Amino acid sequence: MKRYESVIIVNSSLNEETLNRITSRIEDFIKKHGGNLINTNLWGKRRLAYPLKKFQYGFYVILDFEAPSGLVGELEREYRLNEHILRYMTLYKDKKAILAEQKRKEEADKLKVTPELPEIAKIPEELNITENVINTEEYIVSEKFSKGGEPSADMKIDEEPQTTEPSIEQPPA
Amino acid sequence: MLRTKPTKRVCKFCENGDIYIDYKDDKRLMRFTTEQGKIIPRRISGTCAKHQRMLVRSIKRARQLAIIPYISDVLR
Repeated sequence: MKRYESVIIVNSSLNEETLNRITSRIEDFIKKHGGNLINTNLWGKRRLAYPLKKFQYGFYVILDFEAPSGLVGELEREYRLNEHILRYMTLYKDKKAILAEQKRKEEADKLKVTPELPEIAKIPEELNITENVINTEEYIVSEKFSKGGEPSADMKIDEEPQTTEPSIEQPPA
Repeated sequence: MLRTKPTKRVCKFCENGDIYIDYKDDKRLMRFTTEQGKIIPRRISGTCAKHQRMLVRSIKRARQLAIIPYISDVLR
């Protein structure tokens, strides 16, 4: 029983029902002829790098299975008979490929376990940074259109560019 | 005309310790192809022989499955 990986590109303009029917038919075919199905991955609709039979988009299905020796030839015959399958490729999976996939699954599981990442991006409300940001924008606009403006507000904004000036003055000294 | 190979630079795959380069990783594979879609030779990209062979195999597989183009349109 060798381990294989099969990639199929199906016509993407079909209903979901027909897509499910096609995938389940292939899965049953594998099981009937003595194979073990390990994983099916529906990659979904993707833009193809070049048009296949005048289609720009395709629906990718990836099957991971174990099978005895004669199965793959018959499976490919099934693919050929089906009009909706645009392209197929079955590959033999060696040990390295299997190990690499296991690693990838573990890493994917780790990412799912840590949901804390999006929370860090949120600014905590205690600092009231959003309010200050809006206020500075208002003061900057007031500078442009009216040369006056509150001196205390202007000082806050002018501090930032002043810090850059001493660095420029040093070389001539 | 010789373009200098990145000298003393380890192959990127050897640094990561990759044993298998997947043909489904289009973002990774596109880094080793030019704008036109050609495969970058080893003396320029700096990969080792073993990984270059795996890379080329996976790029050719991905091209067949329309994950990567054979030729990408470049306006001249």
